[in-house]
Amino acid sequence: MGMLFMRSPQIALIADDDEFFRMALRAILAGQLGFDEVIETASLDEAVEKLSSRADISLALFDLGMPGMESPANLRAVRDCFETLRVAVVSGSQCRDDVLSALAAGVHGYVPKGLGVSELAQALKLIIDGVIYVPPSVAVLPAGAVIGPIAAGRLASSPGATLDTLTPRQRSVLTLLVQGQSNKAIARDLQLGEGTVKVHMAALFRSLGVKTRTAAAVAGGRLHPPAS
Amino acid sequence: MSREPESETATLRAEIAELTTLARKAGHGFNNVLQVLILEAERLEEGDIGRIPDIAANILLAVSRGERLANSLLGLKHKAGQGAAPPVAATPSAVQASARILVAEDQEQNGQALQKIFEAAGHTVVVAGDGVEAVAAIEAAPFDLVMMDIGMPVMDGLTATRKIRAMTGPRAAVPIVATSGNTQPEEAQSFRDAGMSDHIGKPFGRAAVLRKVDFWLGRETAPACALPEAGTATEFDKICALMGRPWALSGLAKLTAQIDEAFGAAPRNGEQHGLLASQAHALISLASLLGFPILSRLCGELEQACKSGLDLLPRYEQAKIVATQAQATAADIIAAG
Repeated sequence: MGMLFMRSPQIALIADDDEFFRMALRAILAGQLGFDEVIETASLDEAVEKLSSRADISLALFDLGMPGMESPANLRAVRDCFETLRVAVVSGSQCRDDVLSALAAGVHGYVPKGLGVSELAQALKLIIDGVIYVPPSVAVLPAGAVIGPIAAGRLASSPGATLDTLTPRQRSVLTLLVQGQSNKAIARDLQLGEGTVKVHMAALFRSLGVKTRTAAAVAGGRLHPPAS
Repeated sequence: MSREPESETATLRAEIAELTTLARKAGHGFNNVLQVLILEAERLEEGDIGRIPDIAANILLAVSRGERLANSLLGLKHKAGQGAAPPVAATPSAVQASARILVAEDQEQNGQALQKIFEAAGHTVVVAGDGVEAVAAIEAAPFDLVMMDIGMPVMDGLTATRKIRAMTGPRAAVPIVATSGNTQPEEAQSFRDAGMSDHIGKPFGRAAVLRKVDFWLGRETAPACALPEAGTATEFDKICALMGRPWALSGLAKLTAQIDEAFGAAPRNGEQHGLLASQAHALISLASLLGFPILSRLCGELEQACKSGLDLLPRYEQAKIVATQAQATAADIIAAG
């Protein structure tokens, strides 16, 4: 006779500023895919805060058109900091370069918003089951396609970040880093969890193309306008 | 089997002219079809043979509102799309008290459920468990309608349909309604190519399937969308089931308003391109959730065109036609309550 295992609650997070679509996605996750709780956020900063403050989120869906999603560094940072989290992009774009850039950032799936309700549910189910979902359109090569590094697309990695590509939170964290503050102090100042600060820090390192705090502080210092 | 592009254009132009005349004679109720036809005929004047598949799609969309030009237009589409299958021959027949319906379905519960529904409505039902049985049934006796499941063992629904369409005599023209789950637009294309008259997506309710059957038995001319395109009962029913009908209806109102905003006037400068790009982007998810997959796709392409500057006006015009149709369909659904 086997034991009956209590299923732990399944929690999903949606990060999308399109309220209408969020509602439908919530209904699919809760109603059709068995999630016990669905957390809705409307920006990357909000999403990162929620992800850091809860240990039980198993799936996170990010819209590409949302503030903070211009850079693949952010998705990379989320993947790096939350290893067991399944991360997928849900986007209005079916552009092949966007899909490939997202995959390069390490996502577990890319779900076009143009799918109907059933197809959306199917794609998400595959991702939950461990399959890396990509839309079939990725196999359609644009005419005259050149095989080369992924250059175009919303998530194309640019050599250097500017203040514009950072989210509001990231800018605040960077300012305090440049001033020499520790993560703990930054967390206290901005009233964030330390885990949240670590994710923003990871994203900043990637955006700035550096690997150490010192290098980040130097690069960050260059980005800031001179003190008036 | 290739024809001269010029003679193709000339033939298509002549057919559109003929259909336009027919549509005019039919008067009130065909205004949408007429509008689409005239616009497309104008495009053809420019000798734009490359756009013929788009014309077919737009005409089909007009057809999806249930006008009886379905037959001629679908024939036109086959010509345009270079389909190998013969045009769909079925036209809604004269009203009948009780019809003979063939249900081709390999899942016993589904077959029995359909049988119950149809018999309760006064029809006679024969159930076939696979494509071979279905074809044999059509050969043996006349039927007024076939509900054809796509995924069946031994012989699937598409093959069975092709075999039926290849028969001689009036039996080959029997209306065939495909039943399948989770149909992609590309799949719907394959149904059309095989010669199917219509499609209903599983799971479907009793009312929906009876409406569909009534249309093909000639009882009803109200919207009984041929093939799952813009705002069909299938996809819209799904979002109603998911979110509730009031939510879905408010979504349609929102869609209508956003279409008005986006397609009010053609974009003239860079700033307007940018605005249109974001308006088109917003329509992608809204349109597809509410059951307008073609509009969704065209808005995605329009957004790309706004950003690249390539092909912008043609894509704008194309999306606008489909968007206008979507508004009409949305208005119908809202009016029905």
